[in-house]
Amino acid sequence: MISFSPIWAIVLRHARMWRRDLNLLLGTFYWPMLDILIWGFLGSWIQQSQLVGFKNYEMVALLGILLWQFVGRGCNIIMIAFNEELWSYNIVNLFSLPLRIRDWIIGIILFYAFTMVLTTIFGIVVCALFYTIPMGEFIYTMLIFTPPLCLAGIWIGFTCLQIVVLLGKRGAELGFVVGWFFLPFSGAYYPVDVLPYWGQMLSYCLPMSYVFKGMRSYLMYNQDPTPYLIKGYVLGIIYAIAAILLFVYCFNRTKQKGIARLVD
Amino acid sequence: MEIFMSILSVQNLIKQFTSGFWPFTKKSSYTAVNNISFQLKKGEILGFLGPNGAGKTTTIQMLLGTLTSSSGSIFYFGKDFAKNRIDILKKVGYASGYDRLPARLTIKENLDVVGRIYEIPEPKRSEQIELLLKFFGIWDKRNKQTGTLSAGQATRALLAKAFLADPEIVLLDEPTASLDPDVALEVRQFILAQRKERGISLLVTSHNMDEVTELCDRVLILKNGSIIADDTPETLAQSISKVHVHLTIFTDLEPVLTYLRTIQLQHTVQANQITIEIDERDIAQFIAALGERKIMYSQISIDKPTLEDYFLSIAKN
Repeated sequence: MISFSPIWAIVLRHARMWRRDLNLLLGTFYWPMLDILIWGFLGSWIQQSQLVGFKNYEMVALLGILLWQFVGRGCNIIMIAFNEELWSYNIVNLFSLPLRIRDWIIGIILFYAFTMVLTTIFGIVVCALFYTIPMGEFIYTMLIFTPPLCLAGIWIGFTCLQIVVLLGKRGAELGFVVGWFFLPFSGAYYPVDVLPYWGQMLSYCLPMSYVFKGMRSYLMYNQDPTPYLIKGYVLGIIYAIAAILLFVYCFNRTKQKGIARLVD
Repeated sequence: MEIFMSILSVQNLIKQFTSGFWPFTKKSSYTAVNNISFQLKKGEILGFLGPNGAGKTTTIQMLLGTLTSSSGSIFYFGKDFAKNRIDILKKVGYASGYDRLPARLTIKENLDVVGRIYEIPEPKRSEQIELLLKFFGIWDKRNKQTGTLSAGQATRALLAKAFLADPEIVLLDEPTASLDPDVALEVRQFILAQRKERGISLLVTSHNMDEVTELCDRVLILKNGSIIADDTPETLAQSISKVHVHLTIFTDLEPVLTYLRTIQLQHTVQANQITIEIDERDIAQFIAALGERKIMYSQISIDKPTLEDYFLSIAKN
């Protein structure tokens, strides 16, 4: 005989956390919405493209996925680097040492760059093993478009960290959410033209959208990507500097309540 | 002038926390540290005592710069901490029973990272790590991830971190909380030896009153964010006038109890032993009165007041 009470107790035990934990609500609504947007827009583009036809689709798709790693994974690396100190209860230890926040930031960016070099090499090897694409052009294109996307990884990473230093551990998942929010509007997997008007307006503010547009125009239409790259670089540098400065401001501000409270 | 004579000088330090997010919730504030001032002299060991929530850890966090004060000033070595934080922290060690080192790094890797942040050059860094780990008895665990260590071993690794850069001041927040008595004794001996050999100054918070009495030259008692006493452990203990007298009675207990009720002395009874709380200067008169009443006892012992008695009296009040 199954008793309903203990089963319902387990349901309530988790459902009651919803009222206090934004992360659970985000998991329920945000991630499905993100998948719907990304794969829906990708489907629309493929359907439209089949009508007009285009070349290098395989390479464009692979580069879109690989280059987004520099943004998405980059953001994750920066987030995890800080969160690791929270999860291991080391945050007060670390910042009670003679360590400037400037030195921590530079150290994390260097670690990010090192990790991305490994990701690049690994990505190239995997693509060479599994796909028949002109590797010379693939590597060349990748190297041109990687640096401005690294800048994007940095500014999104430090923007997400602002949330963590303001909210503490509770803000960790929210921080990861913000990073992925930009994916549908960056034009990594499809041109931003397939987005609705408001989505296109948003994408014009994102440096990544110019970089991916440049990559697509170069590979698909043999156009010079320089104007797009310049926009991507300029916006990326401005955003990265702004995000880092704002992170430093938030970090110093969180000291008013104490760094120790971030682990609570 | 005084700030140049002491190695650490805290003046009128206040920390107020505000909560609430206007206009959604009403803003409220509470004062965790309320206008405290104290000095730490070279070679001095200063105890920081107080009930939970008294403001001990909040003060230490401000002394480390991981929490900003609402007002007041902190001077180390005559320098303003707010303006020279990094230079000052190079001479300050810190360990807390509440913190951990990154769990997936080994003890040696962790201390190597810390040593690099302190800019200790090789080979001194490795030598210092070896020396401290051997002293704290965890040299054989040096290649173990800190997440796999017992609480006592992890605390010893944190203490090694605190002393790694040959600091002039060490701030210890509950340093021996999770240590076995024998290891805690070794740590206390190490602290006293460091003070003797190198003249380092220490600020220690602890709930272990015996430890504070043994270690500290001076004790600050915090309550509700304010310093309510500042003296040696012995003087603080002596300020408690009540002592406990234990009597083992081998005649009938009833006459004793009747007498105790008559003179209204607080007492407890366990088998044939009575423990009486009495003012120290009344003991002689009390014992004489027992003799007059032909009350025979086989054993008498007197517990002098300790720092713990003092602590309990302020906690009660």
